[in-house]
Amino acid sequence: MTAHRVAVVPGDGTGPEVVAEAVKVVDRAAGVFGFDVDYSHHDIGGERYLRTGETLTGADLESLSNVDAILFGAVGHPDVAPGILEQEIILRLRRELDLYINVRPIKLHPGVNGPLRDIGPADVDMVVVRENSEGLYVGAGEFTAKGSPFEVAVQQSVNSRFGVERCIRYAFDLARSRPRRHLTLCGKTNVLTYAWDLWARVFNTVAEEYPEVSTGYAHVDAACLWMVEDPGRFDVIVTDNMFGDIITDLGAAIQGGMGIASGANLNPNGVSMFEPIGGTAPGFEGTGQINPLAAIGAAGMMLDHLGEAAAGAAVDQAVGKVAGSLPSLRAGKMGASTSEVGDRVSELVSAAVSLEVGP
Amino acid sequence: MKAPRTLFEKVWDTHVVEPGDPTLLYADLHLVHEVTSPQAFASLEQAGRKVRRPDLTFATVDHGIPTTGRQLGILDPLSKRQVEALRDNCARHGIVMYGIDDPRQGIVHVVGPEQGLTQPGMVIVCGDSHTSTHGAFGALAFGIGTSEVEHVLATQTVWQSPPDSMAVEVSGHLPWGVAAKDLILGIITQIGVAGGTRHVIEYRGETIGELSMEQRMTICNMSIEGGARAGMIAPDQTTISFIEGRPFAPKGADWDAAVAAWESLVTDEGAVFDKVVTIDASSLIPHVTWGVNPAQTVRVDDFVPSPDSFDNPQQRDATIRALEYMGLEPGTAISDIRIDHVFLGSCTNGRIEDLRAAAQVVAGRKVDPRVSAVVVPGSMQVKAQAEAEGLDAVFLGAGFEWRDAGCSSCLAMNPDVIPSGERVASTSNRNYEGRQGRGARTHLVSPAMAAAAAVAGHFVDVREWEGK
Repeated sequence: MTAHRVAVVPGDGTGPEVVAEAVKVVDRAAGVFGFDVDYSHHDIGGERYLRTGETLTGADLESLSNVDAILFGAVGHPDVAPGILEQEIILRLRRELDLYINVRPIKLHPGVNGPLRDIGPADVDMVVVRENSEGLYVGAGEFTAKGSPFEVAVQQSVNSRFGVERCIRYAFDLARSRPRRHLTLCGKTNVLTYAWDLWARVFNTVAEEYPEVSTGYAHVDAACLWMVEDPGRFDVIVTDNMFGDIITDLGAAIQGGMGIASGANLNPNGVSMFEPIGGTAPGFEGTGQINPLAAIGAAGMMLDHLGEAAAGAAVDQAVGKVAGSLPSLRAGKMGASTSEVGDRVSELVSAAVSLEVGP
Repeated sequence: MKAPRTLFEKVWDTHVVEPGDPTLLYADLHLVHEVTSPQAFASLEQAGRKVRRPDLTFATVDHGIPTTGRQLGILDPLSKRQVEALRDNCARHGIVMYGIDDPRQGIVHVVGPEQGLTQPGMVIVCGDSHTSTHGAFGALAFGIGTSEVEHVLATQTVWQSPPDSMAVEVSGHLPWGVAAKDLILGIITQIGVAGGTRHVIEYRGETIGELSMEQRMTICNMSIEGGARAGMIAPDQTTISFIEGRPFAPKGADWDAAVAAWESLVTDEGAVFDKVVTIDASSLIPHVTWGVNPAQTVRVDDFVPSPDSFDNPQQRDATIRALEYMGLEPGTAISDIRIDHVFLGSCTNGRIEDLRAAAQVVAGRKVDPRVSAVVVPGSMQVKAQAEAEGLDAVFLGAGFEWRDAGCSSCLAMNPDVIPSGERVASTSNRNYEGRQGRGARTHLVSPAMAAAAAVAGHFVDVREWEGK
């Protein structure tokens, strides 16, 4: 039995608390599904930055490159100026590990009170595939006459055929593996006529290799409307970096909030990183009131990615059941502590196995 | 040794689930569109049934969808509901559907062959009359009604009365400027609109073997206009080359096995047809319909007939009625008939070769200012191919509109309606009263003839144009 090497990066704020619950569930799944996990713990984040001035060191990168997956909590610190940790830890990790796909499953679990009156669990079951390495987020641009009244700021969107195509291919593969086999390209072809012309051309060309996947197109503004009015039309959505950033937060809202929003930053040929997307929630640090389900869900995605499909599915189902049983998914209103929620998921993961091997 | 069999009998025999009259036939492929399916799905679900073979079911939208301004969504509420119903039904039952914004969307009879779904030896059904198109590949393909659509969804089988067989033997080369459309209009004129009733036609002979797949599809498409259940053409190298490499075509060892099986799909020497019709293609010239059924057709150098020229009183009455609807005087030269609209498209003539033939005629010319001319490619893939070849520039430069794919004016279920009393040269398949809009007057022609009429403002013999 080979052990999966998992780097744990708890980070700041409530990150360590939720990651601890995720590790608890992974350990339980490992026990009942029969695999080993070999953890390494990494002290990266705002606390260390304040202590040592280091964000992401060469040694950090070296060790994070030599694992099978990374389980990430959150980084961010009230005493660190905005931008430093984001740029030098999160964006740098994405670039150095070439985490070119961001995957965000958006699922409204039965029993969870979503914010939309007429929209139920049958309507919300989609995955957003966000291009994670290019677009407006490459940091290309310039100021002209900075500081003067005539100042001009230009921010460039970079879209390479290579970058666009690998993202679209991943999305088609993912769509093909799901029952509905439907992929929507979300963009802005009518206004951003260079970037989205390339995206649409590549999308249409790659589509020919996937005859069993039906496709659609939505302008990003229309997609926002439909995610609220008629989310059932979406199965897999593929989009660029900025639009993906925006619509995944809208997705988190319709699935019941950040407490249940898990994500993955993938390099399908390398080391991938799994995280709750909610951030450090400094107000809840140390209270035992933060919702760990997003982190546990991310751990489930990680298990699936590591080839432990049954364990991943069991964690996903258990997260869904526990989410549906809580009075609220919001921190402080769950009616249970962070570690109690983790315990419930663990128990259901055990139950899933006993059911599976039963008569 | 087995008795010699026709192509039709070979395909039929391998699909019989329960013999008799009617026979229960297995269907290899069920094509679905938005208009004839919503009730079928609703009724299926009401009965608590599932789609038996979602993997053998394929859907696209074509009949009622707009061909322009699609980013605004579908404005017609009925069409919108139909498209949304199809989308939801396909999602629920796991059926592949190319929706309105899929780059592979198009008329179902264009998309099937284009994607390699249509293959020789299959039984193919669809809730649309022009399903006979797929017979061009040596498939037995026929249209079914909405209740039959439900039956096929539930069981993957369909009841059919065993039809009779008819051979249409075509000899001689098609002359320059004479299209497959003229050949099928010539055949229908010869046999009459009921001449094929209860029959499955096999188009045979050296001429057929010389035709491209696009031409064969045009011919089989209009078999139904001669009253036939279906039209078929034996697969040959042209067929195999067309299918090879298409997305749903078999691959690798499956491909080799498929080709070997397809090669046996020919009518055996000595097989007997219930009826045989012969036609000499080399004597054909371009045809124009003057009336309200596809057999009311004359040559372009001919005249609108007089009711008195028919001995049969029924035909005489039908002619009087048709001339009244069409607003035509007997004895008018066909080339003197002015037109108001040109519609280039449909499952009959909306394929790439059709657009090429028309573009060749209009290149460097202008549409008559009194004519409104529209090109509606049969599929978005046809559209993309045409654009890659620069045909869109040719049409737009000449004054045509260049639309998105769909059935459009052929049956005017979408906004592309021909106004009452106005006259259209149309490459579609039906010229019934009201087909292209209440009171609309339809003349069926080939793509090149439609293009020439757009430029001249009246019908012309396209053979007299040098075609630059």
